[in-house]
Amino acid sequence: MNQEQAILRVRNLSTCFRTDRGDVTAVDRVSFDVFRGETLGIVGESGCGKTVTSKSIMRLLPEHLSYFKQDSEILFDGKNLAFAKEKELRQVRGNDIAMIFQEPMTALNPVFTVGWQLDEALKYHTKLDKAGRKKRALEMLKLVEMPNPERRLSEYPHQLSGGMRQRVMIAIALCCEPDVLIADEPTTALDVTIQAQILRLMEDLKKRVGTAIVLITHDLGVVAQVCDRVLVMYAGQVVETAPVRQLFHQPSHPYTKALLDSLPKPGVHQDRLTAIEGIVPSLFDLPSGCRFSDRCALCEDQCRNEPPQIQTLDSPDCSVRCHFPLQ
Amino acid sequence: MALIKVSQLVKHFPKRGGFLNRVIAKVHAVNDVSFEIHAGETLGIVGESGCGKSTLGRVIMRLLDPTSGSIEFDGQPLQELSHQQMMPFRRKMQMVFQDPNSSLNPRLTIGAMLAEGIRFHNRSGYILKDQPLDQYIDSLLSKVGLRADDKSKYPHEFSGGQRQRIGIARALSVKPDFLVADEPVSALDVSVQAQVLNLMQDLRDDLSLTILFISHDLKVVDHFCDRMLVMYLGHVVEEMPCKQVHQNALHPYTQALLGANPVNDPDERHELTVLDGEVPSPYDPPLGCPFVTRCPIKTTKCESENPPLVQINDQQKVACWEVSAEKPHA
Ligand SMILES: Nc1ncnc2c1ncn2[C@@H]1O[C@H](COP(=O)(O)OP(=O)(O)O)[C@@H](O)[C@H]1O
Ligand SMILES: Nc1ncnc2c1ncn2[C@@H]1O[C@H](COP(=O)(O)OP(=O)(O)O)[C@@H](O)[C@H]1O
Ligand SMILES: [Mg+2]
Ligand SMILES: [Mg+2]
Repeated sequence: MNQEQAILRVRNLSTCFRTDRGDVTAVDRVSFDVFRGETLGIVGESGCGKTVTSKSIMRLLPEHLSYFKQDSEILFDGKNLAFAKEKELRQVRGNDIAMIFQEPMTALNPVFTVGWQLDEALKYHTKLDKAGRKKRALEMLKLVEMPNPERRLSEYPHQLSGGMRQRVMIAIALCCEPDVLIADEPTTALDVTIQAQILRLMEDLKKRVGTAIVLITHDLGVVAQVCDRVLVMYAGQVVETAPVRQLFHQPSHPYTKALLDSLPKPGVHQDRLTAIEGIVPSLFDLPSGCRFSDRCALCEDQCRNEPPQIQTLDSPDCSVRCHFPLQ
Repeated sequence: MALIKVSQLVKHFPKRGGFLNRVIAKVHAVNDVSFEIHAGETLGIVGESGCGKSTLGRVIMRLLDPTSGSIEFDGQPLQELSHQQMMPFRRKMQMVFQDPNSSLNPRLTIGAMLAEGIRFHNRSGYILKDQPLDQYIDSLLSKVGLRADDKSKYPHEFSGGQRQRIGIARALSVKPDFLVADEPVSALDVSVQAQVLNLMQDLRDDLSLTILFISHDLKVVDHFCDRMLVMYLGHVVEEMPCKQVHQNALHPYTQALLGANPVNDPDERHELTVLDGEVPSPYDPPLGCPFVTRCPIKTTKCESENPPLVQINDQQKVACWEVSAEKPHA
């Protein structure tokens, strides 16, 4: 992929939280590019820092409880969003970069109708008059294949099912035709048949508008189905990046391989699944060497003592943080 | 020999409202469901949220009373038993829940919680016949992969996967024969999900457990179970053996579930199946086949007549007019 096309570049993003047990670095020197029209997957077990990464980009973390380390860069349109003023951020949020969440209720306002919320987005992002906005709002709901779209305009979020709420969120995101859509576990709470609809809608958005999608998920099936490139996170760090086929067929990091191995594989008779023993370490009690060392089947002395750096492999598209990458 | 036999089970929930808080509608949560589970077998129930899986599990456990129909445990019809008569069966039938948090008492240490359940069910001395309580609890914890000193900890001190192990330990602590596991791994990461599924598999083999395993995840059911029932809107629409679901699925809903599941390999990408049509309200189910509003192969007959679950071959039953017309039972 061509370097010039990166529309969002994240460099050395370190997000820290002040807690009553001291400061913790929840996201540790994370770097990646997002290219126009691609779907970048971010995967990892819960607690690995996926949501904190996405909320950092949107600057949605509480200011008084969190901060970025000095050299953190979130480069969009010539600006470093990490240290941009609220006024500049408001311009970017929703307009250029939009976000949808696992639980759309957190982002929808419960006291206003669906129509009102779409109207607000359109007021902000278009120059349409009231009648024009109403017409567009309806079009948006039709576009996201909302059943009975006319009726939905006057309904409140709580009257909708989870899948319908997620469609409203996508419709709102669509109103502003963003350059980047960050989708944090958008289908995790939904049934598979509804998930299939939402994934298809995001695919359409990408094709129609050229929106780049950052899809955060813990579901490797979803990654295999829709992502172009993948970033694997573990305990706050990027441990592997690779194009999706490479990642699934020739994972370099033992963690990536272990995650893939732990999936039930339909049609393949497995007597037992291959589990990863143990759990993601606490941010307060990180191993001094490789953060995955205590769960890694291939751990050596060096891994326990010395933290591995991220290194580029044969192709610039691929990198891994491991002393002994596979193959 | 069937350990569990469920016959024509129905569970309706009334919805009250309006003037005088009358019953204004009924949710048809479980509709005329019949099946057997053989001793030592694991039967899976799969289907999307709201299709009645948990209700079915709870009615079988007699945590809820059925509207009609019967449940037999080892030949004994349960619905006629008094509270007192039900007691021995309460020990023999145990449940594991999706969210171990809501089922673990936050104020009790793990050891105290286990001891409470064991003492309650040990009146005949059956549970502690070989070991004193303390030793029994230690061995139980080690069986589910926890340490003996974990027994002095409180639930909040454990991770999600560990809490699920505790939930399993509690269910097994009274030496049940039959386990209903309602989405036991749905809240867990795949890595931890694999740990817990492997654990359940080992325990099942060691203790010759019979299991009803409920999950919305067809891949997990296919991996873990011997047979599965596919539910839609309170009805069983297909019953078939696991491990070859991809080749065997006949009901259009089962096929839609399979087709909507993302692939495991980017080289096998296919257009995900997307069903048109609306999911019907459980208060107002369709007149004919429950799947008629979304079915890609429906005919006019399906709009007015609900297809019965019929035997298609030795191992498989399907409730679909189109499928049974094509494959009349040999
Ligand atoms: N407000 C906060 N204060 C302290 N720690 C936090 C806060 N928010 C998140 N964290 C910690 O940051 C880590 C990453 O969390 P998160 O990004 O939500 O993980 P993921 O989305 O990958 O499941 C976790 O260890 C979590 O406990
Ligand atoms: N206590 C209850 N009162 C009223 N309706 C209920 C109750 N429990 C479940 N239901 C309804 O019964 C149907 C089946 O629910 P449930 O068994 O929980 O489904 P599942 O476990 O498959 O998601 C749903 O429509 C649900 O709303
Ligand atoms: Mg998250
Ligand atoms: Mg349920």
